[in-house]
Amino acid sequence: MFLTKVAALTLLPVALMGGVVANSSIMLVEVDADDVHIMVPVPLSLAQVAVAFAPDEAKYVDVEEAGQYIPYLADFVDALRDVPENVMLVEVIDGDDHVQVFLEDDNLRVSVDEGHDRGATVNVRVPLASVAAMVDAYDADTNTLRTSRLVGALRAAPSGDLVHVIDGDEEVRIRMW
Amino acid sequence: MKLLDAFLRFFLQARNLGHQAAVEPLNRMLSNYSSDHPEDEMTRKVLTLALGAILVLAAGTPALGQTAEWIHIRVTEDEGTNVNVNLPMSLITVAMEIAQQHVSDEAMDFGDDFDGRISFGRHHDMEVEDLRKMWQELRDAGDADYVQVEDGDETVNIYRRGERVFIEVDEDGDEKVRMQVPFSVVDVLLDGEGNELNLVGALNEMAQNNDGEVLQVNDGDTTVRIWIDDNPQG
Repeated sequence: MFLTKVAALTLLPVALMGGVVANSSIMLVEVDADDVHIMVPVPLSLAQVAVAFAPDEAKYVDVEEAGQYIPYLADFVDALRDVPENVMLVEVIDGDDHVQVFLEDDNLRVSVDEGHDRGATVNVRVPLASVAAMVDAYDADTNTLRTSRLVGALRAAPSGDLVHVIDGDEEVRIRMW
Repeated sequence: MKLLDAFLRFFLQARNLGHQAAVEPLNRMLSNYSSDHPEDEMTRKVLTLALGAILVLAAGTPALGQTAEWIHIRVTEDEGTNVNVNLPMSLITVAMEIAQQHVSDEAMDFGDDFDGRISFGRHHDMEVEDLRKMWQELRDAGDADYVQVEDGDETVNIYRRGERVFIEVDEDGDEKVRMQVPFSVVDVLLDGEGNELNLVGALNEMAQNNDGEVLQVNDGDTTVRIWIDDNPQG
């Protein structure tokens, strides 16, 4: 009976943490290069909690000169949200190289394909919801971004690849899961 | 830069003609810059860039109450390079506002309280006031052939028809530049005081009251086309 109670008390926090993680967005960072394979899962809910206990210097990110541009991102997002789906904003074809910038499902997509054998491919997805959330993270008075809200901006990203780069034998992938 | 060089050549040739009251203010401006003096080269480039920017930003054709929301750029090279750009005018307006934060070059001082008007730096003699006077002269002149230059294989024609000024440059038979400058856009662009240029206002005017061809350049192997309309895909 005693052992049962100890086991229950021990497993309760684990179960609670598991529940939190299960309901949390997880950012998965994967790097494959030659013999190296790295996979780092980052539960964003836990990261947001951890930031709350971090020292003050980690709670804010000084953005210096970049801060002056951040408020314009809101207008930028608004303008992009008025763009119809799948409109090709920019397309460059240069020999085998192909660059595309377009909107898809409230995401700004950038695709670069070198085309030829073993050429690099880069796919980047920027969720507009995350950009909008990042604008909210900016504190104009201190010219800083609040780290917890930055993590929140990442949590606003829907599941799927954010960054996927393949260059020869090397592959980097950041995705929401 | 070829396009800008073409503009500079045109204006220098127009100055040499010396018979157009409309270009007299420009004549005075350009008389300060001689290609024989390298130290004037930077100023000449800035001047050319500014004039080119005014004309490019001002370009478009009048429409009847239609809102042109998209600007399109197509660049095609015979070697296989193709560039397609389709951007909403609202995005261009935001970009202009961001540019105000970014540009700190002495040639253009956007000022701390940017409202779409640009003042040229005090170190350059490019006076928007002169442009404004020149533009007023052009406005008052009505339909006319302002400039006709034939120099060997090169011809430059500038003329007004209705509410548009047409600029045509032909060189060596295979290089062509075609521009249309609507009066309403330039009116808004120059509606400030002193050395101010109302760039954002001009963009809005272009978006609301203009559509059609802005610029066509055929430069041998390369063609460039800029136009605005209400079709996202051009």
